[in-house]
Amino acid sequence: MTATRYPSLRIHCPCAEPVTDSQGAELDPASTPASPDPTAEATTRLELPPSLESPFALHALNNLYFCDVCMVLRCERCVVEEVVQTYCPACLHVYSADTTGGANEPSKVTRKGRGYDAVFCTRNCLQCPSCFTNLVMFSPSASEGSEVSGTVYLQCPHCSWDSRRCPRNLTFSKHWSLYQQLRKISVSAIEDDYADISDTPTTRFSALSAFYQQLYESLDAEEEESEDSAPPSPLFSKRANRSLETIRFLKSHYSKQGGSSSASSPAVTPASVLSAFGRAGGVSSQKAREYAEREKERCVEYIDEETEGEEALRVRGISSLDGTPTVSQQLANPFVRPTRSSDLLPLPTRLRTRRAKRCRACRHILVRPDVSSRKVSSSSSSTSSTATGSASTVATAFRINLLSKNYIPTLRLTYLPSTPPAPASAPYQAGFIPHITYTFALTLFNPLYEPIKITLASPPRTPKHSHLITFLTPTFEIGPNIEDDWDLHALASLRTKFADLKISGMANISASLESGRGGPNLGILDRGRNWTSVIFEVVPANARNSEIVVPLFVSVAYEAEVEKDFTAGGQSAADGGLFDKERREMAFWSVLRIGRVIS
Amino acid sequence: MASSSGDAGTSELMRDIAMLRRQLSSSSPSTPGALASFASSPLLSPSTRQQYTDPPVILDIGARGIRAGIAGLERPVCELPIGPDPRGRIKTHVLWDVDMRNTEMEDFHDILQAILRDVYYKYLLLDGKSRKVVILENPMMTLQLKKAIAFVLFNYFQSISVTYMLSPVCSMLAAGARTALVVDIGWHETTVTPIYDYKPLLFAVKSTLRAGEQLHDLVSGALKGFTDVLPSFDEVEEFIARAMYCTRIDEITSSTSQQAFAITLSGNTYYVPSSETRYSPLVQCFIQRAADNADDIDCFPIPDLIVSCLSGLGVDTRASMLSRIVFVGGCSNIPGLKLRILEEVRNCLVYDANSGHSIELQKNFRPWTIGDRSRIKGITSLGAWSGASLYISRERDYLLNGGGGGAGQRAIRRIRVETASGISHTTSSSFRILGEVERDKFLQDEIYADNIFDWTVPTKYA
Repeated sequence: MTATRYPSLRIHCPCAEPVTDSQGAELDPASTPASPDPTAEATTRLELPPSLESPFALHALNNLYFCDVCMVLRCERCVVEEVVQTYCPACLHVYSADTTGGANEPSKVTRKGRGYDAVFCTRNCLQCPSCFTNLVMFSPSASEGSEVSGTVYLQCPHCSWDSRRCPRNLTFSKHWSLYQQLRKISVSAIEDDYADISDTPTTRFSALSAFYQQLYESLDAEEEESEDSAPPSPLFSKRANRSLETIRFLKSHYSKQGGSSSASSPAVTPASVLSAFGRAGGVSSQKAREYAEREKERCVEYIDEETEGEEALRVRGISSLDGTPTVSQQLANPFVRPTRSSDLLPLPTRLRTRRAKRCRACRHILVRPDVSSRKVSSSSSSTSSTATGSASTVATAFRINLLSKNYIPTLRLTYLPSTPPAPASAPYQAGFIPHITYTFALTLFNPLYEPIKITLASPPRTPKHSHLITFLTPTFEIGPNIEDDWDLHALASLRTKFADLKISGMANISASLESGRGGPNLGILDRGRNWTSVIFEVVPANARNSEIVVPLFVSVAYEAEVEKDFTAGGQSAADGGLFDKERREMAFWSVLRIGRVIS
Repeated sequence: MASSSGDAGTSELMRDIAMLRRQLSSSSPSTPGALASFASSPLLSPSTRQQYTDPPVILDIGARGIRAGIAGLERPVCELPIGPDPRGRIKTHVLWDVDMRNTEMEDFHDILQAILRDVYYKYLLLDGKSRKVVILENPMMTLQLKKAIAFVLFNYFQSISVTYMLSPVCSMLAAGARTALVVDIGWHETTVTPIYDYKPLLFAVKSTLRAGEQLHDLVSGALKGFTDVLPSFDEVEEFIARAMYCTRIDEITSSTSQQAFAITLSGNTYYVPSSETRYSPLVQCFIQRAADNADDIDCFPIPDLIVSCLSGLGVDTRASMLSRIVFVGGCSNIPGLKLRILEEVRNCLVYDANSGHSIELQKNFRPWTIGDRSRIKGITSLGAWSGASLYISRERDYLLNGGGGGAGQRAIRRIRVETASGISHTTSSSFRILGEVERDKFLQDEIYADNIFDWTVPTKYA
């Protein structure tokens, strides 16, 4: 398990509230409990959502989106994703592109390549099979600094894996389309080692594929034949039908193969085939039956007990895990599964996607990458990984990107040490001591151009271990995020204030806070242009080794300017301005994980 | 109107009018019906026709890992083991427990959607809504799980449809056989499924708890006994995957490999006796009977399970099964294990005056296997995923390349009946698979959702 870093702050997305909710939410997001109605929740008793503890419902603010139509947060579970572009992370070559123009049109992605070619970089990007770093191409003949050409080999810059140290001295005859060469090598590598060609998955797969195709064709032909013939008589029982079908199949099979194979194979007479399937009379010999069985399933391959046994003995002989690839190394190769470290072959690079995201409730696009690719010539990029000629590389821009941090306040949690010498990280490392008051500053940044009114709410005691939480100021305002109001001074003052705290401790600050008791600024540590820091206190309960997790409900209210609706009323057109004030509210739960109580 | 049926021009006009009418009615914003259909349709599908002809996605969802890929490929595009993720959200190593009462279905939904998100966007590079999905299922898979998988795919990925195919049948197809006894050594259970002439004989399916999980516990215990360190889950799994081996029976006594084996547990290197950690747990888990043959009915050793499965079959089916034993599943990759199981089965079934093996079992089987050890054989399989890929790509090619005409339809129907996991189709341009679960119906109709195809109930597919 990965260790949690303290303090951590996560935003709760209510999309999974009752799991069966999603169907309803798709139709009408506002009426379902999936999207909390801020006014209702703020005025009535606050109830903790049941999924507040689920790690899948908690997200970092940067991973959330905001639908400005539904006015709710959207997490990865409540967006619908569409792949608009695939590209190679190593050479940045774009492999498929969105061909549609408009932002709101459905995307039509044209995929280049089929099968494996659609998911791997088909150029020169190969990865180290041992540590998954991108391999670098070298030429044994070329001198330092000259262009790579002719026969090449690959080396890993990280673990110095070398393709020449493979048992087969792996080199590539051409310095382009290494991927295609690798695929050929992946098949032949095993052939050499095990000396059994049909054992490789690729050829065995194609053999089976051809086998089933033939089976289908023969069945089809047989159906047509039976259509011409008279309707089956009741005497023509099911079993007889099946044996007849097999005989037809065999017959067509041999007529296709011609005379040459029939000479080499054991003699197949209609009688011997018949005897294989029937108790229909004729000479019944074990050999003929076995032969017919094999013919019927002639793609069957028996386990080679000798090779298997040898492999088991080889594994028995090893004395450590060193010569065997790790599970992740074994699973990484999509073409063959290596059993020995020396069998490891370079891996193709998996492509990556750029995706558009839509709100699941209203289909509004939340994220849309800009796919207009720019053309670069190969000379500007590194010689090792690009093909000749110009190539389009992936762009990084977005056309639409509705990130939640542009819509809801950013929260930041800071510990304020009460005694001067204690470093700020002390309780995180050593743990929190029960029954001691710890003071924290919660800073909220307003991303909007309007001033916002914040209402914080949290249960007085945490639901799990009933640690005591006190927010001194539950309601306060934050100024607008207006660009031209240069706020460096205020930020600097906050910095000095925090520095003061570290030197002088909380005592001085609390004295200054005391002086303002009863005033509107009680509990407000400091404020700047678009941010406010408020103080809250935590008193850990006597629950050893428990985690202090504070659920915090944040409600944001502001007045947005909206264009006046002249068509509806008309009487308001006279009283000045094109904009109406509209009160907007939104709210969300967040979870502050403050730390562990000392054990 | 009625007379216009022969006139090509008029009928074309009629079609245009009908199409226009349909467009008008669907784009009208005021009808609530239009809104509902919009909400439930696969969102803004680029082209419906393409969706039905693109090769489907095949998912092999096991308790310990997911194999995924696109039909037509030799091997899955990715094989992802289940384990803790870097974001700290997934904490288990298994998707579900043998006892479904211990599985929180909401956790299952969450974990599965997180993993499938990786599968779709990191490995397959596809939208979920663009492809049909085929899921390989063990015959013993509970309906609860099947429904949960369908729910996740329909809700979070907008898949068009979900189809369940029996994984033993696919394993057999990947062996090129028509009749087989499929032994699937999985994580929770080892399942033995006899298939005769493409028909899975589900009444005779047997399973045992002697499988990957039990082996994991035994190896973990053995390693702890020799090192005094409790190895982590991944360390044990690495050890099993890389160091375990199995030998033939006669090699046990002559085994002189008392050599030490070096392993690294949490940073320190330990030397453990080789055969006690790498061989004995394996035999104890899969082969050895409990003392006094007092195994529980759900805890048979694998050779006995195979024998008891065979004894439940008809006399004429047994014989063809014997030379068609297929081994699949994670643990079957352990070198030598297949051979050992085959050998044990031979000893059980074939009467041998010199050895005193399994007198009990011989009573039932002696008549049909006297003296012929070589008849009991195993066949190689590419695995269930590749089998499904083979089958679906063939079926698809066949239907798309003009197959499915009058005669072909019947041929397909025959194969479908024979495989009992097969395919039927409505038109030649799209192909539908028997037992296909469609998204619209699943989300709108609760009764439909509750009636997911169940192999264990014969009436539903007969």
